[in-house]
Amino acid sequence: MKSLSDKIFTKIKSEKIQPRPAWQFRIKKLLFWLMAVLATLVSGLSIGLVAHSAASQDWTIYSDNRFLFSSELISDIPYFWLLAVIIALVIAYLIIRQSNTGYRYSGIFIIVCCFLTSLIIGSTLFATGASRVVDTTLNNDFPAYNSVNDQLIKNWSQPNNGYLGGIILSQAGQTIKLQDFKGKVWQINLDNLKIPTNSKEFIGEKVRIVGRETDQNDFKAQVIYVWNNCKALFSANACD
Amino acid sequence: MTKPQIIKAKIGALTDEEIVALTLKNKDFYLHIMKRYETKLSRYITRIANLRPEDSEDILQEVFLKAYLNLYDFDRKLKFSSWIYRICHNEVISFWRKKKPENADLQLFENSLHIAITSPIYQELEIKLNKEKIDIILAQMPINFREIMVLRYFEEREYAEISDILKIPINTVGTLISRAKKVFKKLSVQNKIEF
Repeated sequence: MKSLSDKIFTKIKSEKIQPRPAWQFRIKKLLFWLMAVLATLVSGLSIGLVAHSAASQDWTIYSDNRFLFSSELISDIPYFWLLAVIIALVIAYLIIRQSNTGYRYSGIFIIVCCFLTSLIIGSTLFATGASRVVDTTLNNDFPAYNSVNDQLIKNWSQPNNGYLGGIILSQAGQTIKLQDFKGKVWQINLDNLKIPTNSKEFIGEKVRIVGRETDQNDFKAQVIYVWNNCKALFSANACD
Repeated sequence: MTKPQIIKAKIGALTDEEIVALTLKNKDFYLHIMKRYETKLSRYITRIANLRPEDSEDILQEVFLKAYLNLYDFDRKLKFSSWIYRICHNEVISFWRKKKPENADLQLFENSLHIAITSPIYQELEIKLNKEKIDIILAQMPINFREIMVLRYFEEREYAEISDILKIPINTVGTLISRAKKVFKKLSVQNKIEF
């Protein structure tokens, strides 16, 4: 009676079964590792964008008691990129775990290694300014993408809450005219604020104003900051 | 010694990995690999899966064909035995999920009796342990615990080999064996079985 081995061997010979060629396995392994590298890169890029978002946030607004723990603060957290970091790390983990030798390492070890690699990539992208470029590019190419800048504009378009942003159109005495991001023109009252001698140079400047809405088109300023940093143009005491 | 006997003796002295290398040049050598593993894998399948002999044979055939088709995927860093046991493990799990056998306990018991008669390794173990009692308890264990007990104590595999077969970290192998022993002990108390 034929053994099972003999039967299988006869089948292999009669059906001319051949082992799959080596190149198929090489390509499979290559694609496998490319996916792992890609997932780690996406995770790194996401970390870079989270860092860019954190660095670009207007921390002065968050330090204001009126803003603290408000819904705006919660909505400013870059959930999309944080979620992208987690998903990319999980994918990288699953791919590495399924590799020829990945199972030898504990899950925590693999996740920590992937996260540290992503952190290095993310830090490099942030430090070199690549994260900002990606954020701007995504904003330009994908209208649905809510860039860090969009978030800042949203934060500074709340005159009823005391936050107003826009471009200075003119200045006369204790009043400046400001056009907000929706195109509305405001009269900004600068009473009690120091007016620098070079204040005319601020015309055309993009600014952020903390204050109080006093009428439909009137706003009383407590402090006026340059858009991109916390340099105060008009204040009782300069912040820098 | 006749010429075929000389060839057989020479091949017998080769490692699995050497025969695999030869198989890639000449498929006739694959028969020697199958001969080496037929009994071992058959016993392994029967022990962990509680299947009818026909089903076990189907799985084993699938294992040998898959191993042959994927010979170029064999990682030389592993032992060939670990690699083929891994394929076997995957096939058994896949079969088990698709078609969990009925009356599993009874079948395992009957299969074990059959193996006890035919397997010298099993007979050796029988001297050390009470086979029937062990089988009753093993049959009640979850498949993951049962498999790790079979690999460690019946197939006598090292932790590193079990790690390669089951694709789990070595530390997890130790943890699983420890848990499996506890389950085994608990079941032996429940069944009022003493060793």
